[in-house]
Amino acid sequence: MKKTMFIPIAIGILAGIWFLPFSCAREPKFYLPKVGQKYSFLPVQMNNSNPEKYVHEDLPALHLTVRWGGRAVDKENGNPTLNFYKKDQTTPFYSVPWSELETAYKTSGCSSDQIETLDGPMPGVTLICDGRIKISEVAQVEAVSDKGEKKYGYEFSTYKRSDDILAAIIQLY
Amino acid sequence: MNLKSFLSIIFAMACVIAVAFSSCTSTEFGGKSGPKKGGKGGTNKTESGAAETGEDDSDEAGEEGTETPPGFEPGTLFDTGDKEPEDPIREFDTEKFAGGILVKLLEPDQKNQIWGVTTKGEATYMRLEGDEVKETKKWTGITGGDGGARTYVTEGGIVISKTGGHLYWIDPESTPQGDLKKLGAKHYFKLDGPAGDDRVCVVSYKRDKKRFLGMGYGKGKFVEIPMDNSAPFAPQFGTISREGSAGTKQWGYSCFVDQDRLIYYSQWVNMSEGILGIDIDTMKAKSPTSAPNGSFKSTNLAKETVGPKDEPGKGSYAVTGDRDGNILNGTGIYTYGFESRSKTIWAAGKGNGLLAIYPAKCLSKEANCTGFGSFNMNKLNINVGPMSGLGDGRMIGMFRGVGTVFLMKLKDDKDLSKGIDATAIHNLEGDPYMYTDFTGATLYMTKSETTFELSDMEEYSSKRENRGIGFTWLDKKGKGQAFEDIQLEVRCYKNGEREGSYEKWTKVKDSTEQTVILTSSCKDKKFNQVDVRLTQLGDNDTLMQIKKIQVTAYQ
Repeated sequence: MKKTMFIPIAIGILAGIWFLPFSCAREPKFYLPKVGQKYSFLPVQMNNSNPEKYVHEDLPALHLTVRWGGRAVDKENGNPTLNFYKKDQTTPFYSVPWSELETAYKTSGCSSDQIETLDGPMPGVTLICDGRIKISEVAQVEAVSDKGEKKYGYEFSTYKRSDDILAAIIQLY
Repeated sequence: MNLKSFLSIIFAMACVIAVAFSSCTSTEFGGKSGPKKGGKGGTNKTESGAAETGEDDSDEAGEEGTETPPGFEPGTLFDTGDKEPEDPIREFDTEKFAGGILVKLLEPDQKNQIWGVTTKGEATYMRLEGDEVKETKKWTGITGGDGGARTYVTEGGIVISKTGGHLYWIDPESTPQGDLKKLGAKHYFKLDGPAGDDRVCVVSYKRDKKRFLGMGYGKGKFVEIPMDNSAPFAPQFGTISREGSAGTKQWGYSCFVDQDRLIYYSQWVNMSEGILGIDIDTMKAKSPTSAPNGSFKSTNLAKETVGPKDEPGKGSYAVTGDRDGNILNGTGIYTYGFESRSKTIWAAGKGNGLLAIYPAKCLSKEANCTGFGSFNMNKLNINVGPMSGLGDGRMIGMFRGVGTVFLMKLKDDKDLSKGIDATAIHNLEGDPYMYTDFTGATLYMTKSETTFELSDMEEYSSKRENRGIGFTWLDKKGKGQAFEDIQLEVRCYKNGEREGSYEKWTKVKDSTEQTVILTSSCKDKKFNQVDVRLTQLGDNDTLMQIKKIQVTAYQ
């Protein structure tokens, strides 16, 4: 290959690599299990299936995952406002756009050890360390996208992520 | 930079991005499926071969079956009054009898098919072989009002109902893939009557030897549409054979039909207005509390066993039922699914990642439930909502929003504490916003395949040869019924070895009597597995009148 051809092709390959993240980011891949992937589960509890038992006591930090119809909630795509309701309340006790909540790990007093548990920012995941949401008190989450589309979550799966972090997953549909 | 260099840069960039893009998509949707073992799909070859071998053997052997051969004691008739399903139909004097007995309910032999319908208006047919999806077909144009799709698998395909009464029918073998609406009235029909936001919940059943679709909508309204009585059993859209009313509550969001008693149940979302029932024979309202578990109360699973009780707001997101006609409704539950082989009921939580599995009797008979477990699927970032069983130990679950189809099964049918496996077998690339039955789990039974593991028998010895097996069956109506319009086939083999061919056995004796079977694979051989296959012949429903079957091993 002539030198005059090699250099432009090399530049092209490097530029292509530079654009790679954008080409793959077209479709969020998070929480999309691969076909053929096998999961194994052991019972978390035998002889106790009451969903309420899934809610552990609130811990100092809340690792929150929010899914909009299964996919990670996205500030670039709908940026829904989340309205948290307590039982028998008709007005939310806390309303926040996702774009604001997703940075709560920076603004809610989380320690560096707690932030490390995030393993880097993940779509649809945040960490809240100032107790503004006590998940045991949340009866319903209403999400309203910037286009006015609404989705709801009524019950949440929680588990203990570490001694001081409770993980909760809110599925909106 | 000259033009040549510029074009080279663009070309190289395009190549890199194209390669990267293809790898992105192929890892998402194109990966190989999981393990290859197990499942009924893998037995197709032997089944087709069985027809030939079986016919030759069966006529001759069937003649022998008319009299009980010497040495095969018929046993003592058990009092079948109010006994449990697993209690024997005939018992034996253990001093004279060597061998053992096993009793089972029929396990439906479904077609290993799964249907997924997404909010994009697409329906996907998935055919399983073993635990892998070997074939998919896709149809489009399945539209209607807002909300999800109600589905029901019929003998010849699937019926899909979209909000407002838009009905679709697909035969996976003959319906050309593509836009269903373009295929004409055979495949798409707008039902008159439902309002624009009415949900129309559809089922299929047999009545008077004919096949029908039945559907509830609006405030307690019910209509019946006849189907062809020959394959592929297409609905006769445009013909309403009968109409009825179950009451004045809104229903049609989800539904269940008790195929034995021909009672249709339905409710609105989360049972928000209560539950209604209609007797399909008389087209008159029928109280849901007349279901077998109508008065059942659990002492430790109160929320999960709402069942047919009319407690508005306390039911499942979508109601369903089991093959005994029990209604399955629970607070905080997305839906339940009945698994025939392990006789378990699986419960999906409403978006919270909960999957709980109960012995079936815990939701209908056993007040203090033990031996059940709960699983937190969210720990692995997966979740199932719609569920439907395959009738052979496997349960299909769909991931709402994401579209992943999971094949789930217990690691050990007899020990829930060992956990479950869930394998992603397909991705629908859309939200499977769907209800009711997408595998044929609650369709009337036309074929059953029940496996008896002789090692489960207390008196059975694996060291001795089996001289032959006895087959006894019990009719739901009581003793003395004739074995009519049903084909019996059996095969005996050692666990882990090739199953071999089915062989027919004719002249089966009446209910509660014992028929001695001496087919080539079951006579004077060592084996520990016996498969019994029963097939409904003609348009009758006599197979569904069988309450339970018993296999006796003579050693």
